[in-house]
Amino acid sequence: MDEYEKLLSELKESIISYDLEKAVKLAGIVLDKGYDAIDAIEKGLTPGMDLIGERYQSGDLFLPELVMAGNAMQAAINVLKKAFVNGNKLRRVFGRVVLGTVEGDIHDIGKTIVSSLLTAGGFEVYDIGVDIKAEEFIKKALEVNANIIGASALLSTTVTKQKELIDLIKEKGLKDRLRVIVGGAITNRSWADKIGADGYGENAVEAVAVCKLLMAVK
Amino acid sequence: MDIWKLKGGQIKYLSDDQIEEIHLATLRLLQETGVVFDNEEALKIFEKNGAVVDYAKKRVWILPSMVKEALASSPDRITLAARNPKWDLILEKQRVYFGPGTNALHLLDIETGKRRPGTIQDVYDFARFIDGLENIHFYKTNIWPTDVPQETADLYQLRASYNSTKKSVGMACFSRETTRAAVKMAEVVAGGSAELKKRPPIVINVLSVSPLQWGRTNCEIIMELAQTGSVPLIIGSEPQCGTTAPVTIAGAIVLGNAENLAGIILAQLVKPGCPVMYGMVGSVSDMKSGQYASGAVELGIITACFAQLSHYYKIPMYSTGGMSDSKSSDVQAGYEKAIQIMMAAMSGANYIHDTAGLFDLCLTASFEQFVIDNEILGMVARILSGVNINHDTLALDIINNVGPGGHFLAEKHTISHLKQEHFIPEVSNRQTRQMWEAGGCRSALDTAREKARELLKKHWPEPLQEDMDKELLSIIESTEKKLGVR
Repeated sequence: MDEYEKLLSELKESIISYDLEKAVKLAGIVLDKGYDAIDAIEKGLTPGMDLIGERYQSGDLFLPELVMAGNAMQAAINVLKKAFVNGNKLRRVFGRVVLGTVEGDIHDIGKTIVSSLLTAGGFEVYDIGVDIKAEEFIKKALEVNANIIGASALLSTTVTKQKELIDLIKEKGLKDRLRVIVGGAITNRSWADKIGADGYGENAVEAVAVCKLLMAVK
Repeated sequence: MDIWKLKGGQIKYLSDDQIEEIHLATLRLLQETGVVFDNEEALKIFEKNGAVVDYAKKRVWILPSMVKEALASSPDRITLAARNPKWDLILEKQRVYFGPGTNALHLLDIETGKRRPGTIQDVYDFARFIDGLENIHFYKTNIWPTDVPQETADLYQLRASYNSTKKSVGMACFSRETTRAAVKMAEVVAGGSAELKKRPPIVINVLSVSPLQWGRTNCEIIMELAQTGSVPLIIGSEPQCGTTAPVTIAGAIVLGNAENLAGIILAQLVKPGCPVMYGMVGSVSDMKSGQYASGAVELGIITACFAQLSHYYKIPMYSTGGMSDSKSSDVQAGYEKAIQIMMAAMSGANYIHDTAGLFDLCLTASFEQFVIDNEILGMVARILSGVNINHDTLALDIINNVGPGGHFLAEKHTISHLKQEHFIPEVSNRQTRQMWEAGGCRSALDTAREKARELLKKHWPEPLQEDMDKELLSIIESTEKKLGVR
């Protein structure tokens, strides 16, 4: 096994053992040695994440292990991003997703779990936090060239903000460019349909499936 | 057994030292880590009273002296009035009461068995249904009506509850305006502002968002209710071990305790002496999915620990127990609920909600499950009633008279003590196999379903007088005008 192959294998292992420090260190070595950052992601990190994802789906892993692996992956990518030149050579991802909890709502854990699963599932995720105005969702989505916005709400009094977001996107003529998925215990399929959402998931696993479907249909 | 005089405390889950340790750790957490209050008015109140406040971070660091003062001024006892005064709740020490809760989004239709979204009619039906269940002490709004304006749905729930049950009513409010309106409605039902002070027929709950956050609207509601000085307010938290709280039970306890005390301090700073209840709905998260594990055994453990803390602090408690993650009235529902209810009741938790009619990760209500849970509650009530040991119950002369080889069936003593000493089940089947087969092999669920249908058909408590109900409706309508609804 040559030096590069060994490095790829160690990158994969760092994700499987959800070792963030090691993943970051190895990403630094990739840059130092001048190896191809995209290739390192696709042949080193992604296979590790795929395996983690498989093990999680089959019930062998707990959520913290998935989240930690996702964090290690994200941290390593953040290091390797420095080698992407002006966004010319963007890595192949299923899609880019901006996630947030709507304005007036600070519930966050469900969205955080969706973020981990989407990262594990091969998406690039931008979690912009809680209490997010509709304009902010859109601004971030345009900035990072996202395909999907995921808006979470937990309260009957804040769930209407999901509709506001979709209406604003329509108003700006961005409906074809930005898909919106909604979730949170207060939501359901008929609410999602009523407000014109492009997708709805009852839990985090469904959210990933919906995102994949949306990207395939695109 | 008198269902209205239950006392817990048979379980003392933690030692006195452990309780002390939790309290001291909480003081440290409040002073060194602090809590976020997403509300400028609340932050100002904290700062004015000596807390360290960072307005940019919306964070408050609370000193131990503030905790002491708030605990000293919070009342030791609260009366929650019912339309039938015999059903008033006396919340103090280790007195135990059971009720349902809170705002399931769906129910299992009693005719079709299928799950469907809740409606305002379901609120009327569930409230009058529990009115007829003898082991349930109060009604906490258990189903969310999706067919009324959502901005005032909490008020429609309250109106439906008052009209349908004479047991005491508890609810959650979702805005400052509806909180104000709910207080007005309670005042109408109480019979005036003086009566509202003496015997408030309402309690309203708010919860923090773990870890360590009080949301904008809930801060407003705390301040609004505290200002009344007399309307009871539940200030609680729902930490989940492993996701929004440390995975360790101790860590979740100290976190939830800090959030509760911080909220209670805000209320006491607004109005010293206002009646507050100390609330806990925490559990573990299921660590495969990250979801709230409503049926977990750890919920029972956490409830028991908080019951002890509530006694230590001498503040009445809003507690939780009796849920299940099962999607139906099956075996899992039975054991999860029974374990939780036992832990809560035997630890002397006061107002135990979610004890009946709820399962499926808190999302679905069921009339049949209410009947089954009523039975479980009856069994636990029997545990709490204890064993009477006196000359009469020791029955030495009876035993002497019956003598070796005799029987007790025909003794007057037997029939006169039977109903106090034995729990008489109505759902559980004790027949022989032969009789059971001859009767059609009915399960507990079959029996419960039949009883539920019967109760729904026959039990119609007297509603409010028409004038009073009209007044409640006009309060709702004027609130809707203010909020720009319809």
